[in-house]
Amino acid sequence: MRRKAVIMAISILVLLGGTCFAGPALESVKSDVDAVLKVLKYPAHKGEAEKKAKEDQIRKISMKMFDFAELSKRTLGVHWNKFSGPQRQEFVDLYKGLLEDAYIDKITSYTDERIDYTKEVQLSDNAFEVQSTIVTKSAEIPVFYRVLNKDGQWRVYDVVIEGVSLISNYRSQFREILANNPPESLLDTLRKKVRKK
Amino acid sequence: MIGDQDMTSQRLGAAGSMLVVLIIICVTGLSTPVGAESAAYKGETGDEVQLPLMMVQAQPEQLTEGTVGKDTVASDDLGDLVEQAEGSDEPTVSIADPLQPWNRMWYHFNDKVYFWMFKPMAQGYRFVVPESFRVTFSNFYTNASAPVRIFNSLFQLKFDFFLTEFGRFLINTTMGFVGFRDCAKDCFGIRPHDEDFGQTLGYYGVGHGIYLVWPFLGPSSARDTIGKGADSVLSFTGILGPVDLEFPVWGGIKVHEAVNETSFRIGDYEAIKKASLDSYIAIRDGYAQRRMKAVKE
Repeated sequence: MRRKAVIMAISILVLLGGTCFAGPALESVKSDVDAVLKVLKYPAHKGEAEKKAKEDQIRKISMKMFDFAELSKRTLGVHWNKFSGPQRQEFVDLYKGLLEDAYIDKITSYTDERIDYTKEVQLSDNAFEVQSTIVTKSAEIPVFYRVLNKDGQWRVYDVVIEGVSLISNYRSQFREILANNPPESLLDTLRKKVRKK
Repeated sequence: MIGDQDMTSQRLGAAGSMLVVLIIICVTGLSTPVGAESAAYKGETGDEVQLPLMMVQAQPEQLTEGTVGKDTVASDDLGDLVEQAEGSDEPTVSIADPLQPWNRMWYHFNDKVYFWMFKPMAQGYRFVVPESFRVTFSNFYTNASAPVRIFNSLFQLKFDFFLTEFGRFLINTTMGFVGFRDCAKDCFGIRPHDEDFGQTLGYYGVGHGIYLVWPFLGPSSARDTIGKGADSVLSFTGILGPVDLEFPVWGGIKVHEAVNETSFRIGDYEAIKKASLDSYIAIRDGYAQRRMKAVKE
């Protein structure tokens, strides 16, 4: 019990310390993550329908939280310009689908881990990195959100988990395909992957 | 999060690494260092053709606006990538992989080792052993490898890390009951700093050389393999293992450590496989990124 009190005290200090650095970017990420947590903590019915409803709500929050167009552009880099208009639209949708399918299970398996928001670091004129840590019983996992301000709205364009940037990781995979193939073949690979489930 | 079967099995039997080190030095001759290449956002002039702006497809379910956000990406977000600065804040990390077919073979081997051996073992173990006990074991193994972090902090002249790691070791070995409790963190809030000999080499400018996947040990590089070999000499399990303990005991400890660590990470590797188009590339890139960050810190 005493140990718990100590941990509480430390985490309160950390949280208070965090608010000193807190800016609009951090607040925005925190409120989006809190919205997801709220959905997850909502009385846990184990039924399939309930699970589906929760997933749908999380998908909606993710649409607000992430800037999937920006995320796609930065992942493809120069290759983005090789994609036609309709191909870009399809790519963004498929990429979004891939990420959602892959991470929705991870997100819904969240239990009682604590999330500390450490600080926000300015990356450029309108980009910030919001640094947080997921504290589990056995490990502390640094999760950094890179957010961009567009018209007063903060939206995430990259997530860096334990030093691994999501968009860089996908860039290295997409680059292998796009090096010798047209955009259509990347789209085809994505279509198969996303629809397969 | 990358390749849990690989990460945990990296800890498996580091003893053979010294031999491996010699082989590596002979075979690769330390190879060429591969630096980070800057992101290729230079914009290809050949592709400057204006593409028509995309109109949102009139699919009924996409037109209904959700309570939280719109369900399609606005068409004006899909324009050409023009600004050179956009996204170029971040260099692309890369690692040379001339032995890719060979590495891929071992990657598939490790994949099977995980699904057929470590995962079932870790699942059964997790079912039987309560989490608090597993955390306790994890603390013990972390404390046992303290000399690796202490010495490598020193090698890199990071005296603050050296002091915190040395302090953590003293506190956890005494007040933490030979390391079974991470009292340094729990009682005093002293957090660990991960340093190893691969990072020490990186600190002094040694590049990865080439990417290497070892059976059971998982992703590594020429540089980090040498690092592992050096670290296995420094860690207590390394010192005690081959010398004082019978092989079955030492091997048992190594397997327990691997299974114990895996028990916390079941599902991570599966998630990576599910999320990636080419999990081999995803893990290789993740390894390169993680190690670059580790060297920087």
